[in-house]
Amino acid sequence: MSARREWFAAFRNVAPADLEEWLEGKARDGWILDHIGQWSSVLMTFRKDEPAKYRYVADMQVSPRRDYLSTYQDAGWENVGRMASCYLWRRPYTGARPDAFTDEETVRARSNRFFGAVLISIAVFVVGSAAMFLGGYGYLGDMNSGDATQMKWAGVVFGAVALVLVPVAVRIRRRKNR
Amino acid sequence: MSETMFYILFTLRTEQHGYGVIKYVEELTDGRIVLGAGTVYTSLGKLAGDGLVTETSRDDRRTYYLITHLGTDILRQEAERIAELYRYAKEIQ
Repeated sequence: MSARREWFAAFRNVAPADLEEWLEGKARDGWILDHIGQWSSVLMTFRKDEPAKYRYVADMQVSPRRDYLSTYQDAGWENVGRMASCYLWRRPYTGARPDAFTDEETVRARSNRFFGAVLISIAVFVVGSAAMFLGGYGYLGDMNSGDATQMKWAGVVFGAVALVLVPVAVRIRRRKNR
Repeated sequence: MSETMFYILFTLRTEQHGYGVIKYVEELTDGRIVLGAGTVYTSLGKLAGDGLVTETSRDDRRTYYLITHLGTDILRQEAERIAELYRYAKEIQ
């Protein structure tokens, strides 16, 4: 049985609809995802099988209620797993592509949950970057020049991550109705 | 009120869990409306947060919900609004 690894798939398909469509394309080519876990945003492993029509759904739930899993499972969705707070569901289908979100309000709410998570991440990295620069330039107390240089570089890295996340937020916003 | 919210509130005049809502609405509308699991779960959370439905019981997997007095009032107002629309709509024919 052959397997294929995909690195940083969740970073290349940042909007939930992007990830879903990408996974469905893989399934149509016969590459099936058995499970996702905490590190699957970095590495996903697919096994080769018959081409299949799957509908994938990504749903961010930080603290789901007790009936979250049962509502999806009873409706025929298979839980593929979760990475961080993102649950991944799928179901095979023939005919019309099924949806887990069937009205505009909840489609946008789903998108807003992803958008909010990215905004919080940007804010954390911006604050972290600012704190590192303040420390590096001596505003938070004395330190030797080696430590100050490390703090400044950490500020650069944190700021760069925040900048990288901006187009992610824009992409999610642009696909808010999908 | 959206059609989704109306049907969920309408269904919860009797106690139901999430999937029960999906099945009831599908049967009620002869398959015209099949609510998605994510939509029902999200809507139930919003309706509960707004005090329009309440959790009544739980088993090991499912949570059961029922409309509240406030929810019933809102549902009745919406039904009256739709009935008014229907009366005017009939004049078109």
